[in-house]
Amino acid sequence: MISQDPYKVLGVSPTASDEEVKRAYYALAKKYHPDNYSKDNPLADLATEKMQEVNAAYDEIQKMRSMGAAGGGQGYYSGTGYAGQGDPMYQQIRRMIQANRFGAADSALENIAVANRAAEWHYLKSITLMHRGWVNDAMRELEIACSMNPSNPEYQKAKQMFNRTANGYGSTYYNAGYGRGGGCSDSDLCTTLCCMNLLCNFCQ
Amino acid sequence: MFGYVRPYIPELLVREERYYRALYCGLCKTMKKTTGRLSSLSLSYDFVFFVLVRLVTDGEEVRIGRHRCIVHPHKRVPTVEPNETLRLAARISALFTYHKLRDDLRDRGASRRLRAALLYPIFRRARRRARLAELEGEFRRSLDTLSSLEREGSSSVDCSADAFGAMLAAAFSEGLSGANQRICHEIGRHLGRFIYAADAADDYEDDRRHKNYNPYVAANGGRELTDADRAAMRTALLLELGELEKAVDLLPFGEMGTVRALISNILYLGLPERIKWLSLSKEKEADDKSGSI
Repeated sequence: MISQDPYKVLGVSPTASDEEVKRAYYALAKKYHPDNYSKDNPLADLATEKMQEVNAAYDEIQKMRSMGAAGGGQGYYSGTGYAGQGDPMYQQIRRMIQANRFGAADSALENIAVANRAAEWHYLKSITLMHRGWVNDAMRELEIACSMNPSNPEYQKAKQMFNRTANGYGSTYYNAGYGRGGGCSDSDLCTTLCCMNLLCNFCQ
Repeated sequence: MFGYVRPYIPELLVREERYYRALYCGLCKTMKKTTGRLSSLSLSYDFVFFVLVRLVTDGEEVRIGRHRCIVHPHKRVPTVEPNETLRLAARISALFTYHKLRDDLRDRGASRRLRAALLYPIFRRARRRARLAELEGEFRRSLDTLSSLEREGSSSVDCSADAFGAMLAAAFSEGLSGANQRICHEIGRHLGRFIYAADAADDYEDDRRHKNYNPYVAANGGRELTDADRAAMRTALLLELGELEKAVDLLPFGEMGTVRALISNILYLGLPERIKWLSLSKEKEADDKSGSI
């Protein structure tokens, strides 16, 4: 799928720091997030393609950069820290995910019997779903992982990342320093919801 | 035509503003060449937005030369040389103006009718030179829908806005295919819906007083606007801009940084200017009162 320069896809220079790359990636992932393009949106499929392109570019950069030093984060999920715990089977799947072998990871997950699926199973499943751009399912799986094991910081961190992506019109633009107020900010959400009620009165 | 689909200049970089002006002058020059010298009378910022969007999808080369013209006789100004995208914008602009004038000839005040009558021959010819028969079919269909909604006194802003949106959708996607066609279609549709609804909101008090048709007035049974009405209109219009944003985000900008910056500026700053009054209701009323005395 990658024919383009991954740095161009993310709109950063090849000399950008890991932090800059990550920031650019998050901004784009937020923009093309399937949550933004509901199923009714006629362009939803194009947004999904774009999301996959952005994910692939980020993965590619991660891979290129981890050739020398040990890699940083893995997209929405950090693959660090807790990998030592739990079942060796899950560790193997984590390694597949870190090597970007999402297809293999997914089929390995599917091979685990439903009765044996622990919180970690749902967490890892959510990673593979996210990579596919299936955000709704990914969030559901993550939710299950969190409810099965509420004290796991890794799951919580991933969840926070999801919540941060829920953002409205113009947020990336305003954050880039063009802000003059106006537009829809988080604090506007309440007003928006109130107004939605009024809109319903309009339609009668 | 509408005239407000344009950037908020103070937030542009100098090179962005220069590029924008060069496009504006280039469109003027192209109109003169393509649809007749006088057709450039209808030059508007709105079609520069069209050019910006279509530059992204058409991949036309932008060459900037320096030219003199009647408006700038004292020096040569940077002007984009005519290309296919500019020519298309010129042709569509002629078609728009022609139909706008026909509308003005029918049902507006005397001065507007006179103005329309004077300009009509110019744009009858410009429209012929535009040679966009298929697109004109779409225009006619949308305009017919709009006038029949008006006759019925429809109280749905969305119905009318949709008809207008269909017109701009056809214009923006003219001559494209595949993903770009779909993206530009959506851009035109949501921009058209926004323009229609923003205009209707803006004309509310005038139309109410003069008993002209206005879908918002019809929906409210002709009562005065309340703050809640304004808030509801503002939300609907912001949601429309949100949809427009989603389509714009899918344009294949590649490395067209300046074009992207201009489109973003128009989307996030230029267009919201138009509906600012909805959130400043009190001050606007105060202004209106002091102005009328």
